[in-house]
Parts: sequence; structure tokens; C-alpha cells
Amino acid sequence: MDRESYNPNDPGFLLSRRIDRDLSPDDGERLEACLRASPQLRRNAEQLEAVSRLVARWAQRRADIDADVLAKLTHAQTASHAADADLARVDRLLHRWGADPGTADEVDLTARVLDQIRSRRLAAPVRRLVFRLGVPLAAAAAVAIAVVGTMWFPARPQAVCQVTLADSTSQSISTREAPQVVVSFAPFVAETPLIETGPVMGYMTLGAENVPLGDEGSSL
Amino acid sequence: MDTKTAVKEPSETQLVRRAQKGDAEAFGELVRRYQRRAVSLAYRLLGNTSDAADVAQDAFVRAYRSLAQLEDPARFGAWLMRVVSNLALNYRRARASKSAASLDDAMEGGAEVRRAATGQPLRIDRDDGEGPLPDELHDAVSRALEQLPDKQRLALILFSVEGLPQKEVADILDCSVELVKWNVFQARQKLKEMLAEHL
Repeated sequence: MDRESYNPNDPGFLLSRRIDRDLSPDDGERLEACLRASPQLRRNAEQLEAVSRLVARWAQRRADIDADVLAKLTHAQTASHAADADLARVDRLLHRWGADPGTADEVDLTARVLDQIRSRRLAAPVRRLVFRLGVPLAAAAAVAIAVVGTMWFPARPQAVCQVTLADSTSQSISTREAPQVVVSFAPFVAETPLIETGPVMGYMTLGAENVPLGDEGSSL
Repeated sequence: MDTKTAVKEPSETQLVRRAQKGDAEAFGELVRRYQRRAVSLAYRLLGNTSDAADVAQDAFVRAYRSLAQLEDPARFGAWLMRVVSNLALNYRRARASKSAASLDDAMEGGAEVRRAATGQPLRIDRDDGEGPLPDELHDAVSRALEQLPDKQRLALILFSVEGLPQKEVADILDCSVELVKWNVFQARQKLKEMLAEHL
């Protein structure tokens, strides 16, 4: 849209509106004054009127009908007829089209549109049925897969608590006399051996918590 | 009393309301009423009857599917013409991207292309200045129209060729009446320059 250049006082614009008989008396008088003063504007007016006539004549040509169009328009009726019968029908259609392009294909275009609409309406219940049955079935299948997966692949520990002696040459916890115990947590990896927690050997106080001691480590 | 006169045809608004409730027959009646304008507009924009029929059919089917969105049934005509215009312009763009061929290729006027290729000026013979244009001049006008910006071409075709009221054209183009007039003027100005040798 050429909003920026819009100028209601442009003499050319007034000329164009005069062609369409869309000028107010005031605008008409203003344009006449401009035309009297400007030979160039008079020339412009002649050319715009010539363009307008050219377009009007261009529009007189009706839609031509060719073999492809006729084949489409008459396919349903002519499919089972002999070639000469088709040609006769094509000829009749052609004449009707030439007389009034809007009526030649009237019945046909309407039928084609209605056929398309009806085929979509018939397909719609099927789509609804698929949707109504398919979605719950898909949801149930997803739940079943999740349940079976949980049963087949039980949860593994996510971290391992390691208990070691500090300031000791021995790496194992073997004595109550151990001066200090260091407890640390490490992420569980598949290779980490899981050791059953043996009988608790005893407790010692470390800060505010009681920490059970294992032989080497205990799974959480 | 003549019983025939007692039977009134349903109004367009009634038909649209019935079609909105899923009445395909009512929509069929709307198709019958509007198809001539739809095909004609598509033909003016595409220059090809086969494409115009396809686009018009597609426009009616899409209109039926989107009919619920039409709040004012009285505006069905303008709304439908806008659908036809948009589809025809999209179709034209798709066609242009598929092939650099001009309108001449869609028609049978191959001579026009050859003339353009040799750079020789177009000469119009046997034009008596009345009635439909001779083939070559018709093709030249078609090609000039093709080169106009979409809104200018639509404004000119809807108003000057199809004869729709400016208000309706404004509805279709979704702009003011003044801008319709301005676009028509701009279109004429450009055609004047492009077709200078034939004026």
C-alpha cells in the first residue's frame, strides 16, 4: 500500500477519479482550472483515459475454455461415452460458456464443491473415532510400558557412602580404637561393587550424629 | 394468487447462517450465486481458465471450512472474494516460482515471447479500437497488469473490471475507500507508462 505518497490533491489522482465519475463539483472545478493551465496535464488526461478504455476492452474477453478444462468439467459425465459423444457435449458446453462463462460450469462447480465438502464430512466421524479410541489406548499403553519397565529394571542406588579411617595405615575399618572415621558420599556407578552391610560393630559419636560403621562401605 | 410469487428465495444471510450450522445444500446455493464472480476474478488474476476454476473451487471449500469464523453473514461476498484473491495470488506466486514463464506460456501466444526475446517492438495490426482486443494487444495488457503490485492490480480489477462498488473493494482489500481510489490511480499511471506505445 502506497500510504506515504497518498496525495488527494494530486492532479493525476483527480483525473483518475474523473474517469470513475467520482469527483465533487469543487474538485471538478479545481481540476478544470489545472487542465486549462497545463498542456502536460491535458496530455496525461488523454493517456489515462486511453488506459481506461484499453483495460475495459481487455476485460471484454471472456474466459477461454480449453481441452483440459473441459476434460475436468465434464469428466464425470463423459467418462463412459464414446469420443464423438464427448466432442458433441464439449461443443455444447463451449457454446454455453461463450454465451455466459458463469453458467457453463455452474452445475459442475457446485457439484464439485459439494462433493468435496461431503467427502470431508464423511471422513470426519472416522477421524473422531480414531481420535477417541486411539488417545486412551495410547495412554494406557504408555502406562503399561512404564509399569513393566519398573518391574524389569528395579531402581539402583544413586549414591554410595564410603567409610574410611583417617590417619591410619590400614584402609579398613577393623577396630573400635580407630581414632577418626571419615564418611564420604560418592555417586553410584555400575562398576561400584555393592557390599552387604555386615553386622554393626559399634558406634562412635562424630559431631551431632551417630554414624553406623560397616566393614568397608554400605549402600544407601 | 400466483403461488410461484409466494415462494421467496432465501436471503444470503439466511443461507450463510444455515451453512454455518452445517447445511451443505445452503452452501451449494451460495456457490451457485457466487461462482461466476469467483471464477471471473480468479481468471482475471491468473489469465487461465483451468487454474481459475481450480482456485475458485478451492476457495469455496476453504470458505465452507472457515465459515464459523465469519461473524457478519452479510459480508459473505466480500469475505469470499478476499479468499479467492488471496488464493489466486498465492497460486500465481507458486506458479511463478515453478517456472519463469510469463502469462504467454499459459496461453497459446508463444509469438509474444519470441518477439520479446528478439527485442522487436510489439506491433498491433487490425485493431479498430472497438470490442475485445486483438490477441497480441490483449496479451500485452495482461503482461502489464501482471507487473503491477498486488493491491494495485486487485483494486483495478475489482473496481474497474469486475465493477464492484468501492466500499466492497475496500472490504476485500481491507483498506479505506480512499486508498482503493489511490491504488486504482496508481495502477492506471503505471499501465500508462508500460503501454505507452499502444496509447
